[in-house]
Order: sequence, then structure tokens, then C-alpha cells
Amino acid sequence: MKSRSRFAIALTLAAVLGGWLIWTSIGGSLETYTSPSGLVTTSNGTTYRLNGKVAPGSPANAAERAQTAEGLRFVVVDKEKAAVTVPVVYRGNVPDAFKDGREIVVTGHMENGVFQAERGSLITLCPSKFMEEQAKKGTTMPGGVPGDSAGT
Amino acid sequence: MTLVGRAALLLAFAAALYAVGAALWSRRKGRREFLASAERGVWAVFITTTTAVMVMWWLLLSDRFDVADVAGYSNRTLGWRYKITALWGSQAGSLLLWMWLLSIVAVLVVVTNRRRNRELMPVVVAVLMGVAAFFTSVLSFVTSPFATVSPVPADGRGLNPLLQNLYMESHPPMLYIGYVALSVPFAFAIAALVTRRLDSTWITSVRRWTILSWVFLTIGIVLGSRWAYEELGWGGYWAWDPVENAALMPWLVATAFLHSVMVQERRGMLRIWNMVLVILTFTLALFGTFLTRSGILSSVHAFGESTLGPYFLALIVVILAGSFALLFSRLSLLRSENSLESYISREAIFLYNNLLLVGLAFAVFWGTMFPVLSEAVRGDKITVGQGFFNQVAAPIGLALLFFTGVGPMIPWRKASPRELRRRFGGPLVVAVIAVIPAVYLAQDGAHWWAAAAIVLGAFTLACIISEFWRGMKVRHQSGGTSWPGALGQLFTRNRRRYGGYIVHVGVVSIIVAIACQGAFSSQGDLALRTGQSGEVSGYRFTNEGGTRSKDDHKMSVGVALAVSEGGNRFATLEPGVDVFLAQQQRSSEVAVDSSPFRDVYVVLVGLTPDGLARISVFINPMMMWIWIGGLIMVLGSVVAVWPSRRPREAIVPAPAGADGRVRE
Repeated sequence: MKSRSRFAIALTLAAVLGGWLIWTSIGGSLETYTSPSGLVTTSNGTTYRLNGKVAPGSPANAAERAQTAEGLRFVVVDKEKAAVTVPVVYRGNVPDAFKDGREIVVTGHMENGVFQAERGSLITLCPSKFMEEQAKKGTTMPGGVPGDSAGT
Repeated sequence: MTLVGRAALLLAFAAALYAVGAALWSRRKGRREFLASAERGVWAVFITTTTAVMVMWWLLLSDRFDVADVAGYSNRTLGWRYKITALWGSQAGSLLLWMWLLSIVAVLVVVTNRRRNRELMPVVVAVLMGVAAFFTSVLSFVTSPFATVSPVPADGRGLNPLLQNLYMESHPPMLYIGYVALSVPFAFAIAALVTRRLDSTWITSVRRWTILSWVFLTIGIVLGSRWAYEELGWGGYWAWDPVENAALMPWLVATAFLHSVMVQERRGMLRIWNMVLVILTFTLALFGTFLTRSGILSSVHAFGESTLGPYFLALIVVILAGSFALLFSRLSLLRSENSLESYISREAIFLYNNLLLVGLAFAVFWGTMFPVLSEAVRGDKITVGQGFFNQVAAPIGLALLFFTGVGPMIPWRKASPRELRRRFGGPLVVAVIAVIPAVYLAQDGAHWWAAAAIVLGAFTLACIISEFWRGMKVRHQSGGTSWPGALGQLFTRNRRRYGGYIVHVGVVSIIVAIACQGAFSSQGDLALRTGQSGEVSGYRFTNEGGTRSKDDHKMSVGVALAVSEGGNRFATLEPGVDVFLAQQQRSSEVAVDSSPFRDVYVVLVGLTPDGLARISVFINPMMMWIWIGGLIMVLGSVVAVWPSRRPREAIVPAPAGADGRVRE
């Protein structure tokens, strides 16, 4: 009986330690997952994971631009509300799949209406090929002006 | 032809249902002969599913673009090898592959248990065929690989170039074999619960299956990381992506199970715990499929959202609720035969290792599911960054590394202080010596955990070597065998144990390499014209000119870089970029110079017409040891599962009072 209660105490201790570890670790790395329409209303200091599509007119040499001092500038369009866009500045590694119309996720924060992405945080999502085809036929992308990334 | 495929799957569904019914019916008194009939049903499922797979391959190879999955994942110019692997490119096709593997596994179980486990077999067959019925029904009624499209496209869309790669061809089937093989331990566990035959026989029967599935999961995970490293061109190999986590979680719990099984075999303890682990492992394997197929989480691997989520969720809920209800009703039969005598004993160490592995699996689960949970609770989707996973995994990984070394050195039941001093003297000396380079590398504590990994790695390696040494010494002295002969005898007489130690060597290699890569890797970008050179962390790169070529499929650019260190040229790296014209898809061809201490990894970001090459350089220390460690782990587990020629040694229960290891 004694060993059993000791065992219970040890287990509880392990659980508490584990819980504490998870709790303290999770604090520093929380990011709000959102779309461009979720961003604009709440542009405070929080870190976002921005999900949307690359607007037409992103630079063809995106990977090279992302290495220059001024960085890669492109516009992200909301997946649902095609009128909502946000300009993004990004530096670092650009995935091969990055191109107009691709769904992406990028981590960063808002600064003066521009989404400042963290270095190397750009991820592309590969939609299944059928969905890509439907997107081409069905919805037309809003005609974003290339290079016009200053205004919101 | 698509009709043949559909019919085959429907027949497989019917046969699976029949096998479930017949198997359960055979448990009635006087209905024994129905078990043979159910087992023939298993064969029927195997034959019909195989037919469906063959039909699918035939359709892929003969460019039948009226079939949706052929049109979507293949095209005329695709090589035959990729047409074969295009089978698991599509969602329905990957489920078909899963189902086929399950039917193969079920047949193997029937064949190998013709004389053994006859009381368990009815339930085993019923569980396996129940899962098969689920998959065949989904393949028949929800998402069919034989669905057709009209109008028929002139050519298919082809396979994503990123997927046209040896690692990508092989790692999904490896993971699937691992997942599917986990259904065998699960089926036997349920059978043991239902039939109340809860001694260790069921565990002995599934031991090899568990190791086998573990091997394939390991291969799948390592190959997947290798693919990410070589193809994706971001210098890393693991990003805690939901799909990666989905493969890691069952692996972690299966690892825990492989260890706690030994406690049950030797000491009759942890019997409930083992049941829980088996149930959890299988559920996590299904959960992994659910996660990747349901689209509830965004992932680099996004396979496209599908309607399959609810079906898998329902299956998982049924399995969890059913198994745990069954387990609960049998609790009184699962009482532990012994109790823990000391907190410093082999069984206690196994318990710690189990808590750590399951705890890590839970943390990974928590982090992966956090967005879904937070959305349900608070309304906004909060994701967890890689930082969380790294912070949790680092201390747990270090603790696991420590127990990897300590566990096998500590006797069952109880360890005397004198014994411990004698055994750990050598390894401790090694650890103390390793502190010197570790402190030098730690740089004022900034990289303390990499330093800790080095010290613990040296300690654990010393423990493993001293275990081998001790075993060899006993054989050499008592039997008069030569030293190499003694080493050979260790492996032939006790494959599982010494195979396991080899796996541990691989674990040391991987954990130390991960820690060093994480702490000491560096990165830099260079923009170089022909003839110019630049430096990244002591390595000098000189642009020796670019190349351009173009053919029907793709446009390629490349650049030749001379790499030197301290004026000593040691490699020419030629990174490039291919642009596939049909899909307008870029594909970076990274160039890597590997050596035991570091990888020099170069990505060509772009090459302008006037010869300016932009490159990204990653210096990854110890990278090679991740792959070598993976290889060692696989080799070790092959040694552990290899059938021995002699009838398997009976498991010796730990004798009272004495050190149980003497008799091994």
C-alpha cells in the first residue's frame, strides 16, 4: 500500500512537471492563424500566421528578390473575400512552389499597413490539382497592380 | 476495366463482412469449422484487393485518362516508375494501397497462426477484417479510385516534379506498412481481452509484428526527412509540420510499447498500461491518416481538403470507445503479478522511459491540435510555433538519451549501490572526459543543451559498449570462445537484446546530431558575379561560371562554385534550378558536400542573364549522423527481428533476489 501511494505521488509529480514544461514552452510561441480579412481590424503587436493566396503580379524572380536588402514584396489575397488584400515584405528562403495564385502561410506582424514577415517563415501549400483547376475556371482573381504594394 | 476494379472492391467489402461474421460465429460451441471459412474469407479479401490494385496499375500504365486519378496524377510523358508510384499520389489510391497492405498483413497473420493462438484467432480475424470492411466501404462508396471524368482530357496533369524523387516514391509506402502492421498487435490485444486469455502469449505473438512496424515507421520518417532536406532547399529536415507529427506520434508510443512489453514478459507488470499503449498506437496511426486527409490543419503536405474526415473520426471514436470499454470490463483480470520494488531497477527505468515517450507524444499531439482546440474554445485559431516543439522535445530527448544508457545496465527488481558503482564507473569517467569539449562548445551556456547532448551521448555510448564487453567477457571466459566468436554468440543467442543495443547506438547518433545541428548550424546569402568570391562562416565560395540549358520539358540553370576552407579547395558544388515548363513549377537542385563533421549545403536562388548568381549557404554540423543513425537503427532492429534457427529461448522470469541478467 505504501509503495502504491508513493507511486501515485511520483506519477502526479511527473504529470505536473510535464504540464509545467508544456505550459511554459507554449507561452512564447503562440501565433494567431488568420486571413487578410482577420488582420486589418486588429493590427497590434501580435504575431500572426497569415494564410491567403498570392495575388497576380508577384515578381517572377521572387527567390532572388527575397535575398536583396529591400526584400520580396508581394500581395496576399483573402481566400474567401477576394477584395481584401495585404502587402507583405519577406526575406529569406522562398519555396519552389511560390507563384501567383498559390496558397501560402507566412509568419510576421503588421507595421504601418505592411505585413513584416519573419525571416524564412514562408510556406506554400500545394492544393490538390483538381482544386487548382477549379480555381482557374471559377473565381477570377482581382487584378492587383504589380509593384503597388505600398497602400493597403 | 474500371468496372472490374469497382466490382473487386465491392467483393472485397462483402468478403470482409463475411469473414467478420464467420469468425465471430466460430466462437460458438460446435461452430469451430467456421474459423477455417473466415480464414478463407481473408484470402478472398486479399485476392480481390490485389485485383483492384492491379487494375489500377494497368489503368495508370495504359494512360487511361478517363479515370480521374489517372488524369490527375499521371501523364503521357511520365516514366513507368512514376506511373506505378502515382498510385499513392491520389487520396483514393493511397487508401487503396493501405487496404492492400492490410489484406497482405491479414493473410500473413492467418498463415503464421495456423497452429498457434487458435483461441485468439477468431477475434483477431474479426478485428482485422472489421478494419478492412471500413476501408473497402470507403473505397466503394465514398471515394473510389476508379471514378471517371468526362469529357476525357487529352493528357493527364502529371505528377508534381517535387514528388518525382526516390525518397518520395518510397517513404509513403514505408509509413503505410508501419501503420498497417500496427493493426496486428491491436487485433491480438483485443482478442486477448475478449477471450480473457490475458497471460503473456498474445504479447509474445505480436512482438515481432510490433518491431517490424516500428522498423518501417522509422524508415518512413527518416526517408521523409531526407526528402525534405534534399528537395525543399531550406537547409532543414524537420519542421514539426502536422503531417510529420502524425507519423512521429505512433512511432513514439510504439517505442514505449516495445520497452514496456519487456516488463510484462519478465515481471508480469504494466499489463493494463501495455493494453492502453497498443490501443493508442493503432488509434494514432488512424489519427495520422485522419489528420492528413481531413484538411482540419494546414500543412505543407496539404493533400486537398476532403470529405473523409467524419468517416475516420467515427472509426477512431468507435475503436477508442469500444477498446476502452472492453479494457475496463477486464481490469480485474489484468492485475499486476508483482509490484515495483525499487525506483532504481530495470522496470522502473522502463517506466520512466515510457512516461517520457508518451509525454512527448502527448506534447506533440497538444501542439498539433492546439489550433483546433483554441478555435473550438476561444473562437480564434492560435497556432503553436516550432519553438514550442523544440523546447519540449529537447529536455525530454536528453532525459531519454540518459535512460537509454542507464536502463540496460541496471538489474531487474533492485540494484545494490555496490553493483551500480562497479557498472557505471567506466561510463562516468567517459562522461567526465566528454565534459571538456562540451564546455568549450557550449560558449558560455548559450548552447548548453547541445553540450549536454554530447556529454550524455558519450556516457550512453560508453554504457552500451561496456554492456557488449561484459557479455563477451562472460562467453570468452566460461566457454573458452575467441573474442570475435563471443561477439557473434551474443547476437545469435540473444538477438533481440543486442539488436536493441545497436538500435540504441543509432539513437545516440541521431540525438547528438540533432542537438549539434540545431545549436551550431549557420547560414548566409551571397551574391557573386563570375570570378567573384564570398565567405560564409569560414568557407569561401568562388563563382566559376553559370550554365543554362533547355529541352522540351524543362529549363535549367546552374552555377559552378569552388568551395575552399583556409585556402584549401575541397569541393566544387553545382547547385541549380529546373523550371518545368508544363506546370511552370520551379525545382531547386541543391548541392551538398557531406563530411562527418558538417554538411556544406548550397541552394541556387537565382542566376541573372549577366551572370550574377545568388546563393544561400547552410553549414549543418554533424548532419550526416542523422542519416547514419537512422541506418544503424534499422540494422539493429533487423538483427532483433531476424528469426533464429534454434527454437526461441523461453523467457526467463527474473529469479527472486538475484540479478536476472546472469541467466541470459
